[in-house]
Amino acid sequence: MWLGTNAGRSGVHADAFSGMLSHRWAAGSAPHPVQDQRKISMARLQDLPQGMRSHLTDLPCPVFATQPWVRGPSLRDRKVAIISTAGLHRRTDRPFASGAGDYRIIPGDTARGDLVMTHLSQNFDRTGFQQDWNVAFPLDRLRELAAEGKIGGVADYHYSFMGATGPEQMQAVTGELARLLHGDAVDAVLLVPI
Amino acid sequence: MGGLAHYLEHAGIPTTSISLIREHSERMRPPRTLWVPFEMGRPLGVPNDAAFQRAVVLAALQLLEVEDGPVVLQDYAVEAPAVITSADGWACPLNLPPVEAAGEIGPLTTAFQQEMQQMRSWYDLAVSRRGSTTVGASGLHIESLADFICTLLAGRIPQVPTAEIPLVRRVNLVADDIRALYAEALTAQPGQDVVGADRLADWFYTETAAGRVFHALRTAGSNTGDAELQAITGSLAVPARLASGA
Repeated sequence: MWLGTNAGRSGVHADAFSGMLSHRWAAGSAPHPVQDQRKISMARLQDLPQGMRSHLTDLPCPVFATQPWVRGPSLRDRKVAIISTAGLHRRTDRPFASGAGDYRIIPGDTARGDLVMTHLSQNFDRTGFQQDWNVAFPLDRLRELAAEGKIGGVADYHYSFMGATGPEQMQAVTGELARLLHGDAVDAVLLVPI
Repeated sequence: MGGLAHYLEHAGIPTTSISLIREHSERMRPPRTLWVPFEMGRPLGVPNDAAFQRAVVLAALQLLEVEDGPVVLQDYAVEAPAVITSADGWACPLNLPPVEAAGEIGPLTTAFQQEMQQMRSWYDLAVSRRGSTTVGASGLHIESLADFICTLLAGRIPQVPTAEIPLVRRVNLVADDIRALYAEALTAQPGQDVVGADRLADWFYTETAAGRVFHALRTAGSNTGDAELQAITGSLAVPARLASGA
């Protein structure tokens, strides 16, 4: 009973919040004419407060001595896989742990309702993904491009890592991942952040 | 993301990346990058706009055909359609239970439970229309979410199906399931799919009983002096700008 017994002293009483809502829920609080009030969101990186922006842009990044560059066939002949860093996984899979460098497999026949995101942060919007998984995991768009003949095909398996994880943490599994992608005949990976 | 591209390309897999933070791409120099001027969390720009998303995907994939390697960093010039922000005079169309009538924990949790039921109607419609939901990462049934949080607020540790997930992480995921339920329910209402994340957060934390319950838990946790309990209530992840409950 850590909250209940101390409620009075600890200020848990909800009256601490009383009076905050009445003006917002006054009669006549009809929906705003939203179509006329659209503005650019403040959550774009360039619009964040300087401190938050600096925190994100100044995160340590590895510097590489080499720049690998692998060529391939024409786009219309390539099989494409998605790799996300949004902490996506099937509903029945284990949630990601913070900072983990492992990955989850997302089979190409995963239903929309079976994909969840356990990378939770106040630094990015999740409501777009909640409405439409393609905003962070554009599998339907890849299928359309394949149907239109603009890409050769869509991989049978896609993958996700946890966000806010240092790239070095992921390095250990990238050799294994490359072998899996080769096995799936993938010759193009679309990397999608969050 | 840039580091992962480098490692995969080094292992023989051609990659192309979408980037939301151009500075990271400039420093890590992955093989092919399309920087997009979109909201963090929306790398394809906007939900429910297949044509817009397809153009972004195609622009990123077309970098695979550029011959000017080994480092290509291209800017995507098209802005995403804008959303409602905190600066806009938006109001939720629902009449939720009045929280000001709840002066003690009991009435507050009752208001929360009633509110959850009210949100369920729109949430169920959202699931029906979209054919999907992001609620459920906590592993709890949707009917148990409010009880889990109310049990915590009453000063007890909730029972969970398995102990596989540490309690702090479980609270984190349950809190996010509740936020996701509210967001999915709200954005399913007519004309509300353009309400942005920050405005939704304002609404959740200052205008709903659920938000008040989260604030109450955080207040209680911060006053216990118990590090574990502070970690549990801290995992509710209230945005700093809204942490005061104001």
